[in-house]
Amino acid sequence: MSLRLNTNYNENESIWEIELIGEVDINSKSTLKDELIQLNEKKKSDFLFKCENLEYIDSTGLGVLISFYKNVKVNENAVYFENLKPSIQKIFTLTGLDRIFSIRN
Amino acid sequence: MRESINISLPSKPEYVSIARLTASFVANQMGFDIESIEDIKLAVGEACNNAILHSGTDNTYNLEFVKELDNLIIEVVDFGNGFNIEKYRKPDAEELQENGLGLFIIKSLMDEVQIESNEGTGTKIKMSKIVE
Repeated sequence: MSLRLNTNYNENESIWEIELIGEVDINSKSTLKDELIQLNEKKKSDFLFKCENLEYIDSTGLGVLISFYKNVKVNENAVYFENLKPSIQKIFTLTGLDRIFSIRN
Repeated sequence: MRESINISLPSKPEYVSIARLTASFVANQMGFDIESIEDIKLAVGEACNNAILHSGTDNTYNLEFVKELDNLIIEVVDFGNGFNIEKYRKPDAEELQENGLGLFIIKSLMDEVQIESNEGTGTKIKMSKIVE
């Protein structure tokens, strides 16, 4: 399984919606990184990651999210995550990322 | 009873999923619960990432899964550059560090972890978890 991304700009709420499907790992991280940089260049805004179908993320994937968050924060925009699977919520808690990102279910 | 499974993989990102699938399979077979299977899968994934990041792409690295009663022992050995463990620092989430997260995750998820690394000769990560 690899990574698929569905991206959409929600005009009503002025936010990028990114659906993460599959696995963010050492093999797929650059796909995610490149896409996020492109979207942020297209329109600087808040970002919502929809994680209902995110099956796996490792430290290299988290690294991409952390450095992307730093870019977004510069423009005073926020990053949200929704519907994390329990195994992924656990990693966010373990690494302290739950205190930095807004997570909602 | 002691059984072992040995795999040699190219040091390339596209093969890490083979290691993770094998980890899930073996852990499931031993009767670990779903949460522990996810933990083992991630710990193995992180150890493989480490092997790939510290060795050249022309190399291979070895994985060994040993089933010893209710204990699963996993060794990931690379022949890369190694690193200085003395310099390893636990990442601080408040500072949003992106490096060092992998080893921190492995140590958090597995029961026992031993890391041997020598600059120039490679790294061995040995970790284990017992079925509860």
